[in-house]
Amino acid sequence: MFQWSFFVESLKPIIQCMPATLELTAGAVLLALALGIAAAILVRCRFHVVNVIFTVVNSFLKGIPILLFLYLLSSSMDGIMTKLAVIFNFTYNVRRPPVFAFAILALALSYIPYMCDMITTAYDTIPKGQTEACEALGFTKWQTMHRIIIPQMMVAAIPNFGNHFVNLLKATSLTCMITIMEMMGGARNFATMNQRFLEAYTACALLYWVVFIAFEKVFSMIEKRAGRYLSAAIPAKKRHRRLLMSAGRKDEEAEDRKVNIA
Amino acid sequence: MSNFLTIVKRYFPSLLRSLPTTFEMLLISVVIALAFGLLLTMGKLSRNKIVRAVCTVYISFMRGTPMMVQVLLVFILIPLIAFQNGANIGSWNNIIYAIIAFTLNEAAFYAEIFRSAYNSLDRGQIEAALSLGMSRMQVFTRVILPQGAASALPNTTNMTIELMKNTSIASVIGIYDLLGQAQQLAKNSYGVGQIQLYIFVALMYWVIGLIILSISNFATNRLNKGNAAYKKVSIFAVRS
Amino acid sequence: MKKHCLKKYIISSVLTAGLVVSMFTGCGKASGGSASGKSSIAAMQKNSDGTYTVTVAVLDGMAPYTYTDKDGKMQGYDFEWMKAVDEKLKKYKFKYVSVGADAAPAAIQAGTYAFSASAHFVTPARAQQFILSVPESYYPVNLISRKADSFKKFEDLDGKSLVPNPPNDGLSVVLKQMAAKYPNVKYTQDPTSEYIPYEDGLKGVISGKYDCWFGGKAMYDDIVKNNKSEADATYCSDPITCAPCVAVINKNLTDLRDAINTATCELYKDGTLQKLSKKWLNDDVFATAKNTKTLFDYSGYSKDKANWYQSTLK
Repeated sequence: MFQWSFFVESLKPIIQCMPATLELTAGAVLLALALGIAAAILVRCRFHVVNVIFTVVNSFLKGIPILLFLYLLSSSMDGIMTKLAVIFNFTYNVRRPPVFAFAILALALSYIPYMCDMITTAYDTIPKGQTEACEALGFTKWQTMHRIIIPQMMVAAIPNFGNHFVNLLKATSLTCMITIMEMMGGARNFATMNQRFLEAYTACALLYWVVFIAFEKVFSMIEKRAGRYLSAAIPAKKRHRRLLMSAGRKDEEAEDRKVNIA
Repeated sequence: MSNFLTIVKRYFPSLLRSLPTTFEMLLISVVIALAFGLLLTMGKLSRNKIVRAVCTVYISFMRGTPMMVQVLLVFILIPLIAFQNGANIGSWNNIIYAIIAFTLNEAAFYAEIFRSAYNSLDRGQIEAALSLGMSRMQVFTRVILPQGAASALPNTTNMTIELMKNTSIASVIGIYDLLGQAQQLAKNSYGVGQIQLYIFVALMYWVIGLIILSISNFATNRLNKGNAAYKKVSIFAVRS
Repeated sequence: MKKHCLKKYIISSVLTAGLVVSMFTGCGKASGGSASGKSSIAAMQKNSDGTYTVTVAVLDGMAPYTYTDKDGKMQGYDFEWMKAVDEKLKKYKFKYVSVGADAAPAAIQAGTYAFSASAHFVTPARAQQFILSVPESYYPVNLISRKADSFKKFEDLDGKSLVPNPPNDGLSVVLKQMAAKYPNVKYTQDPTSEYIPYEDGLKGVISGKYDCWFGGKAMYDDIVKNNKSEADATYCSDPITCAPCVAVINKNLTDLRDAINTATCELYKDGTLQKLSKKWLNDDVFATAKNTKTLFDYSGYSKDKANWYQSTLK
């Protein structure tokens, strides 16, 4: 029923396809992040019309299954690319479409709304007072963003980003339906060649799980390091109280310390 | 545009015929997954180390492996195990395997959501209720459940909409839900008009998602009636 | 504290994995002991009147062998063959279920379906994991080469290189059979573990990377129909051999296999199969098989010849 020899044999072809999976994930995440930043800026634009349009577009992209994206792009890209090839004068081989690029595009498109949400919620957690203080101090817009807002945004966004990254990793398994050789495709190939399906798919599931756990650990480490400036041995309220108090209130400080130890 | 409408008119009846399958899978999976997810959360928060460990491993596995692999594994494993133990499942339709796979997967995601909702509850209320002499069951139904549901509902809806999108994966084992039917139609017409067909199916999925979102907005408003810190969300709000 | 949690996590994962694994291997031992002629699985249901209802997987999208048309009706050469066999078998009633080609073999192994037939070649992996029927159709194999060479016979391949076939491919098996029949023909073929897309193979032949493609006319026609330059540059010979296409049956259903074999031989002898072949495959493939001397001996079939394909795989 379950034969260990096939299981062990199937590990190698699947691991060989792992670089393809990681490439797909990385490419899709970066593209989604870039477009998501643009979408976030547009969703919070001053013009109400632009806001509404991009909110609707976001909602539309969120509501479409990834498999549908893949089929849609793989069937429509041929037509679009041949027309573009004529306009921009490059050769497009209909027989050998760059399916890999199409898959990255499809995955990125489906994750743009999530990236956009992540960025807007992260932006909302930063108090408006900071932007105003920067303005008062004479920072330029870029300096405000670059030195104050974005570092704090990154801390708030990292848990969500890690979540989306691993979800995208799992979503790349769907690209085997448009003939891309990543981990799931490698498992399917091995299974068809040797007609042993249970072992191949079990190996595939376990390898995905291992990669998932590895990335989870990586992201939790990044979270801890990025949030280091926020942590303190003393809770924030007490820190503020200390700052506000002048040097004369020695008794209260001693009391605080006693409470802390106890 | 007229081209689009003629294609839509031609295919709409057969697409409509496959909608009940999608809804069936979605509803049954969600209902059972909610109950099972609750059990998993209680398992993960329990004081028994073994129960906690098993629940953690299960949730990690279900969240860490792709949906397609899970569906295929369930499709292969369950007949094998049933056959070994002599159970007679010859009359099972393929859709049962899909529902089992979706339920097992969703329950893990719901368990995580419920756990974070439970952690955000005010511990003092639970202790007060217990000290008033309420049984654990009463504490659960009167204190934990209403507030927990109110805070968990937005995330739960998000996961449900994800599940609606993932039901399309069942087309791998031959179940003709909305996307599977669209694929069949595209294949049988040799790719003529398939782009318009897929765009129309995308619109259908979007509308279904919006309906689920509206229901959830309405429910969140109702559940949060006693919460002073909650801002009412319009039913048609698309969380952006 | 953290190391302690990690240790517990690892221990619990190992324990769970161990439980799951022992379930599998325990099941394996049980099946090894019991079922060698077992015929009651999910796909084979015993009815009250003594007949069996057999669940058959009809692969969709495999025109013209099995496919569903736009109204959802199943069609195809292999589907008609299954219906003809069903009529002949009084003891078995077939129930047809449409499945995707990817999920079907796994389900047949698991016992959800009894068998499927859709131009399946005989391959070593299939022979190991399933039992196969007698051929219900044939797939003509041609030599596709550059126009200048125009190979017509297998002997022409002496000293030439062939487009690679993966070892578990049906065409590989047929190639080995031909090589055994013509021991003096020394061709070269690079080893590969994956299917090479047909189009790449053809391009390789045209460019000179390979000298010949051991493939099928149907595939060839499919590629060149839109590409006149490729059609002009290559030559497709008449069939030099035929690959037998069989039904892939769950390993435990030996009785069903015997019944299907007997019925198929009868259908060949009374001419039904040839008629179906002319209708769906545009040609009497059995006549082609006869001409290339690869026709199965239907008249001389008896139950002990059920494992006929094992000898072809040596």
